[in-house]
Amino acid sequence: MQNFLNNPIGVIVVAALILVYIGTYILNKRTPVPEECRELFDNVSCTACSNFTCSHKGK
Amino acid sequence: MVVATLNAMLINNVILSQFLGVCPFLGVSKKSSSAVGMSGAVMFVMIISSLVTYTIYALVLVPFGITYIQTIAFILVIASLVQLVEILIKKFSEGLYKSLGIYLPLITTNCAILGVAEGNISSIYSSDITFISGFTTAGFTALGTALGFGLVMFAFSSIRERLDSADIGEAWKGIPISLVTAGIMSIAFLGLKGII
Repeated sequence: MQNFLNNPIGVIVVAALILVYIGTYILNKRTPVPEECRELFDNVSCTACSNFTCSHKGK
Repeated sequence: MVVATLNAMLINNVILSQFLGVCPFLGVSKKSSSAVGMSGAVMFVMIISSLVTYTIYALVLVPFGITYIQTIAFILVIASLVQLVEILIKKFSEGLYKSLGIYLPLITTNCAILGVAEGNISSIYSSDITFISGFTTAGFTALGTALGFGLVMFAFSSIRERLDSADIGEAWKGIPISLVTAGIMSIAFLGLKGII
């Protein structure tokens, strides 16, 4: 932790990567899903975990 | 390169030898079509993320002496890359989005992707080899790992499809018989050790 705080380049790189992630996330959210693929998301059935808030969770 | 690919695909299989990516292995293997879609998406992201993370490690983290942030950096790179790949597929290839689209967000949390990126650094990166050599080996290792992932996913999903119609005891149906099958497959893959 000390190492991380003492080295500004490490902080800058992590901050830059977080900004890149936020940017790509927003861009992805704004990009519309192709018309004929919309119903695909209603039929997904992943049962890999117990996260019931996940949009891919199987019914 | 062929040895690196075969080694990653069969001998050090990411699921059955290293036990990474077990969530999609159990969760998205009920149907062969889902398993193939997931494998395709994993292959796509695994190869790109391995190359990008290797480049960032060799050209940014090592020169600036900040290799201790590699795990958090790799997680962020993989998460961003998945978003970017999803945008590009949405925009330019509806067909590909139809087959891979629903699996792409799940890959962000697939530990096999991070495992390969970390493995490339610990086993391939060294100050003695050139960047191009390491970069190429990382790419072929990722390709082999992704092919191994796909091979096991397809084999396992095919077995599970047959198990659905098999006459097995009530207590064994579903996950119990799947886990036994996975264990037997893991033992079978142990037999491939020593080939290379």
